[in-house]
Amino acid sequence: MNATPIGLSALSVGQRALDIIGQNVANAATPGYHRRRPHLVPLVYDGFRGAGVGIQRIARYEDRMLRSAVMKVGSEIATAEARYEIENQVQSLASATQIDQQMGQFFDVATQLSGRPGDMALRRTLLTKANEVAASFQRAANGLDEIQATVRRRSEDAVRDLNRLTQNIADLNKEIVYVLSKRGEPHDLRDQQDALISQLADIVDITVLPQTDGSKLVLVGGSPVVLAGESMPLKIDFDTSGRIILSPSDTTFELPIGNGRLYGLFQEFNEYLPTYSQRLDELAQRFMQAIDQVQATGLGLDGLYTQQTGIRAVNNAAVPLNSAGLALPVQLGDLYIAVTDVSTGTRELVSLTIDPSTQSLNTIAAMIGAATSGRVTASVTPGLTLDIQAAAGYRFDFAGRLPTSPESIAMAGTSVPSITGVYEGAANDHYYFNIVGSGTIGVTPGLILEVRDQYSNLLATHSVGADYTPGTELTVPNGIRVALSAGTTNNGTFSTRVIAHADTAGILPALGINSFFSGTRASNIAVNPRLLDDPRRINASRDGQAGDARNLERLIALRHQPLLDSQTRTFSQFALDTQALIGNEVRAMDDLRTASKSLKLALEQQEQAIIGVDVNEEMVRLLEFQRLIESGSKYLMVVNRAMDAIMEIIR
Amino acid sequence: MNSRVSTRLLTDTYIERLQQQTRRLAELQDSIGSGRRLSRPDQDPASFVELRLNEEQAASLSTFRFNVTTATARLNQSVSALQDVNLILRRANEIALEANNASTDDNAREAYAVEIDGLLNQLFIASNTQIGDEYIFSGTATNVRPFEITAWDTEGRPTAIEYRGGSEPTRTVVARDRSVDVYSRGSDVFQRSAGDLFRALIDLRDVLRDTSLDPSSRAAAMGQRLQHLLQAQNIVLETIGEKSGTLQALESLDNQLANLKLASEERVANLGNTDIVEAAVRLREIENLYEATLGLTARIMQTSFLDFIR
Repeated sequence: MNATPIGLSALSVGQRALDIIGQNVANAATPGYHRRRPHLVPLVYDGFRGAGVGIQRIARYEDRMLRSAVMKVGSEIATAEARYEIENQVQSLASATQIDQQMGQFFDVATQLSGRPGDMALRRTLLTKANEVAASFQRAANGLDEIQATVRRRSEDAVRDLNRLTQNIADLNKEIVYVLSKRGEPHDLRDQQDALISQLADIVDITVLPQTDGSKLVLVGGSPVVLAGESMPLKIDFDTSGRIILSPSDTTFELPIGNGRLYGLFQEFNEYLPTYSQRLDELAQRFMQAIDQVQATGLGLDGLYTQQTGIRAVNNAAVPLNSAGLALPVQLGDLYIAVTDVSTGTRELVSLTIDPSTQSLNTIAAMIGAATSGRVTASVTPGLTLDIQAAAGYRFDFAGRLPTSPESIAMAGTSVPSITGVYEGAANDHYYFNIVGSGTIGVTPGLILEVRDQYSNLLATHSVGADYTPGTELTVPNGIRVALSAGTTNNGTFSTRVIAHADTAGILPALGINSFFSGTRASNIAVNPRLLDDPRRINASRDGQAGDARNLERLIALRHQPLLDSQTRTFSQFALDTQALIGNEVRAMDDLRTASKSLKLALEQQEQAIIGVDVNEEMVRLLEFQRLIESGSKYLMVVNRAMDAIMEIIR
Repeated sequence: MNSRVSTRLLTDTYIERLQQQTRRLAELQDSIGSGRRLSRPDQDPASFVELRLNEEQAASLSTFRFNVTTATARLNQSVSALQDVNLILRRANEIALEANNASTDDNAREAYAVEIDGLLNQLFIASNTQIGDEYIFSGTATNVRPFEITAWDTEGRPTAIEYRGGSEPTRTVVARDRSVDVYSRGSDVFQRSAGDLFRALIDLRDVLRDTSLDPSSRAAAMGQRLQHLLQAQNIVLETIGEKSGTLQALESLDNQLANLKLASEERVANLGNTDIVEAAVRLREIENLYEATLGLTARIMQTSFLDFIR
């Protein structure tokens, strides 16, 4: 008779099943818990006789494909979360610094100053605004540097977490293999391991390969980080171009990663933050260069210069400027220096052709002295900047004003021409004045003055014969006026260069000569201290007078000139484009994490349908096994009574 | 729908939904509270750029209007000074006509000459008019007194006046790529080659005092001086006309700038400000959804098989 063992087996299985249900219910809210279910099998004796019930195994419900999909989406969410957080910080920084608004206010004050260029209070306000622009650039650059440093620290923290997790996973591998070797069921250990693997997948995308011994092989970038009971630690490294990379602790090769928190941090460190810094520097440098160029080629309230010293240094005065480490570019072009004789007031225009591919700072210094016949000399300072000095009795400037008398005169008579005005054409030119006919200015009928540009295009024709009053100024296009004194001429000619841009090479801003700003990039831009010391040095004028704002007009015009992004965007547009770029990234990351979270939730719902605990279901099962125990007990009681009855026969 | 619904699944789903709704509520409340629909680029990058460019344009237009007001005030003061000059020249003209009469004797002519001296002095003062610390007929050399007496006769009366001011008129930026001339070069107003105002008065005065002239020579000389005075007066009137034209153009420009500024501000308001009605309706809608989700969560989480086990 097998009744007692059969009944006992029912009680035993029932008790074990209650334990399992209890564990399921207790862990219904435990993340990573996989529900278990006892698999009952009928026990047989002698191959065919029933011997009760037994638990063949305790099943742990799981779906590896779903788990893998959930982890993959989890990695994507972690990437998006990491990037969202950083991009949001950058966005807040950009909003706080308000570079576009500061630049706008700078140009607004410059516009106001054009109405009262001699007003010292307005000049100081302009400098204050320029200071605020510079401070905004510096705050943005420093803020980006701080964020970059934070990303690096967080990457290091993430790798520390990663190494801790791989160590723990490897330890669990050992325990699982041990339990399995003892024919045990390491379900709780597997739950723990799966939870750790999920955490690892949040840090970096991984590949998990179950091994035949029950352990798990974990790969990062194709390289094992967990193999059986061993973990291979990783480290943060930097490649030759300064990119942050992940590599095994004992080598320097880069492990390619494609998702996870670390990937998001790396993307920010290697791509996005450098892009923003680069755009910020590009904006700061273009802004500095443009404003400095206008400032350098204008005149302040104190007029001409006896000395100017650059504030931007080369790193080697003997090598061509292109290789001399200048932050602001120099290009092939001309520099016009006006040399004024103080005693006579005579002004002469001297030009130098600047070729940065062949000329060094030493060469430039020598060229200035030679071109001006020593009336203006230049030297390289010990700090490798350019120092320009006027000889005694002379002054110089870079405003490109007309020479005091035409540069070539062949009047063949007694009439003396004079050319005045401020040239306002778009490009440098050479104007030729030809008198058609011979006779006396203002007397001989039919005398004509023709004005032509350097390409012989006719710009103007004026009668200078009988209907002309000698000395009367005649208008030539682009702000130039010409007058002829009384006297004779015989098909006379004269000419002058007219200068729109006295520094087409950009050498003055590159060397920081007579500049508005100092510094070379966003992190060190500042207003030139010489201007802060004396606002009279703001070069608002092109003719050197207190009420002239023609140079300010050029500065104000920069506001709407497309000087960035291949000459398509203005300063404000470029600054706002950068903000929009950041905003787009914030939005994209927010959308990605929202979408990925929805996807993850859907996948987890599918996974939970398999592995999750339904308390109602467990309660039903609980009642089922309660009944099993009750019926088993009843069965044993009946069997016991039957045995008692049998024993009564014997007694 | 999955065949099995686990306890955790229910919890996670409701938590996620509640968080989404709470976030939308917070965004709407912030939008209503601040009155700003757009405060960060990520809310709508393209609109954010347009918003900020319009804000900048509105600020820039305000500055241009400020400059228009300043330029208008200065031009009005210039016109006022030139009208005074015109009155001086008109009186000189009257004197010339009155004096150019055969019955006028030397004493009367001397009296007229004295009056011309006074007018010359008034003209000299008018030509050196200042607004604040700026000379209005000195071109860009606003800090330089434009006219100086460089020669006197034996009686100390001026015989030559020279222009010392700037060679260019001042300009003020009043719109994008647009400037207007404000302070003229004094030489363009008072000492053109076609008409020198000072010389006209000095010459008239000197003819009036010249007792050596016979009547016919005096008449011819007075006729010539009258002609010079008329030329001078024409120059002044022409300058007043030019400045009046600029003033009219500025008035028109100011209206245009005001309209453009209004348009920019409207665009800023449309792009950046919260539509309160729409936001309130949406807020109510999300609140309803939020309350429904809360109620549903509580209801489902409360009931289970445990409630039926005895």
